[in-house]
Amino acid sequence: MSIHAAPSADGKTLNIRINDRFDFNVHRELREAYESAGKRYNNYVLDLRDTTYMDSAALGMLLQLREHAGSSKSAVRLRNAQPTIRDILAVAHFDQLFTID
Amino acid sequence: MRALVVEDNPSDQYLMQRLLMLMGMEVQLAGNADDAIQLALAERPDIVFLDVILPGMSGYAIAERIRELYPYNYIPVVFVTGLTDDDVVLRCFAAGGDEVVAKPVEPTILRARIEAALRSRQLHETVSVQRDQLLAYQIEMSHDVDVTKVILDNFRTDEALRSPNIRYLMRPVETLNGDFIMAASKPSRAQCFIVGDFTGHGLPAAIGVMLVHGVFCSMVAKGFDIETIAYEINRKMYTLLPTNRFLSAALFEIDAQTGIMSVWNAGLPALYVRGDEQRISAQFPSAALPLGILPPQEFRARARRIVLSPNDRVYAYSDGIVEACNPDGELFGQERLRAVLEAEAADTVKHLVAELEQFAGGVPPHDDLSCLEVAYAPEVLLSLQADHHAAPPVRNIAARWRLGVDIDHLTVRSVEPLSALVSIIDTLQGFGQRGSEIYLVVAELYRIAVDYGLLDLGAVREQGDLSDMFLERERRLAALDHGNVHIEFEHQPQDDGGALEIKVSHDGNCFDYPALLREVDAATHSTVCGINLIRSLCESLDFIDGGRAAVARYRWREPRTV
Repeated sequence: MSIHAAPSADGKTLNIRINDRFDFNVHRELREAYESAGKRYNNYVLDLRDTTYMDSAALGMLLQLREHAGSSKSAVRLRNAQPTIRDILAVAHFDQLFTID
Repeated sequence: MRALVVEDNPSDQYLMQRLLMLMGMEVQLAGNADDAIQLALAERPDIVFLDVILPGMSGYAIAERIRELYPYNYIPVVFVTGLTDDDVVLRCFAAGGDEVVAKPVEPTILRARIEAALRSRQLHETVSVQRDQLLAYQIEMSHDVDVTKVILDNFRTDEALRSPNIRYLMRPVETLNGDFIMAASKPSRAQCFIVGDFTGHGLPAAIGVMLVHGVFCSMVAKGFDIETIAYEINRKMYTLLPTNRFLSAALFEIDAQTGIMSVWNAGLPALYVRGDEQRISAQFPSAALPLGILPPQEFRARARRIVLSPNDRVYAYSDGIVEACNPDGELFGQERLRAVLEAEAADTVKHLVAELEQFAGGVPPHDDLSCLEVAYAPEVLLSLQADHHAAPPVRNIAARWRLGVDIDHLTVRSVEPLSALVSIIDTLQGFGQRGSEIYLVVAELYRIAVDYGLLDLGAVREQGDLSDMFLERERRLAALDHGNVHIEFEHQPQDDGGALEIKVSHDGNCFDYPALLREVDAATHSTVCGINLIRSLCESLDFIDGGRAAVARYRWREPRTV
């Protein structure tokens, strides 16, 4: 399992943790993680502390998650990104679409 | 279902025939190998029952022969034998038997064995059908990929990329890559470039590349600026691509006359300019979201501008370069790239390839590698593009016509109306390749009217610092709340062709045009104001009405060759 997803205590947020490589291979798993719950959460938090690699397919997956979450900037938060991942997000200017902290 | 029973013992023959007929089969009997092979060929049975010991050829040999006769159709073979030791059973299977039934034949066992044999035939048939389908898909797919690759290669070896001031590297991971480099020149003889990187590879990316090529080439040819082209590409990508697909790209254009470069980078790593003493003198980091993500109404492209000196070099590249890995999992990175670009080398792109290969130490690249180098070499650019534009002359009857257009301050602020205008008069008169000369003249006259008349930039322009001037121009343009520019074309036929009078007037400030002309004559003024350019293309240029109007007379002549 390269993805671990769990709802928060109050059930409003879905916390998703992504391991090591965030690329096309986690596509299905990530989608299942946020779609299978059958409900839409208010917020989605992606914890990237273990993520060391991220490609453009992963950026595409973030856009899909954003659409699923309702396309607002506060709906998807990206947390604990390492410097290399931060650089990738910065070049793509994804701070305009996601809350990055 | 047709069964072939090969058995030399008449009582066993009879028993098998009865049992099989009771199961609803149509039964053929053979008592020896020759008959068996002949019947197998003539009747093509659905299942074969073989005794092991037969006159002439053994049952094993017949089984092998039947497999040879029908290499593509699977016919189940059931051995029926009184020999029950392990060796015999093993040889039966080795010869291609599917099942072995011991004599005396027990009807329920026989039935079960037949069903098992038929199941494996069913399985074999399903697999064969699927294999054939897969093969057909594969052939079709690889054919499609080949054709697509040819089309993409034609884009890539586009004539515009063969200019001697351009070097580039394109190394795809797959046959069809998501990276691309395109070049095209504007009627004003500015060279335009786009370096892009689609999410993903393969056919979807290839389709995207073709879409971009269409938009980019046609809009550059019509003279649109890179901001407008970026807007249009974004609109197309936003409408057509699914949510998770987008295009990281940098667009830039270099004006051959002035060296002014406009850059807009959306999602590509920083572009570099290498100036004096091989040092990187400017960089253009990504300034926006990649294309295809923002809806058109939220999209806004604002290019950054600088002025290049002759022999400055511009570098644009995809992230595959900086993210190339070595065996330790280390990335190539910006620092190594900058070092390569600043290093002394006859061919920096080749040098970069060598450095990347050495760094990777045999690790295959996981992403497409692309890098473009463009040198600002004004004389090469101008001469080359003159050739590039040498389309066959249009023969046209010189007509008498007049066309006037009013452009209000809102239009001046928001769009560049000249490309459309020149294309209209080109439709009227069919100027052909002269269209780009006329465009240049109109553009320079318009620029003088706007800058000196409406924006009153004369004093700022003469101070000489172009970057300041651009900022000031942008500021004043955004604040422009009145003023009009009037453009009038009047065409008269002449004995040997025609004369086009272009008059551009405005209702802004008068300006000191005699002083400007003196400076141009004394060559103390930069060529930015374009007066020399107009003079080189036209018979005459006059300022009237205190600088509120300028009139240029453009002559064209019918080619003498027939």
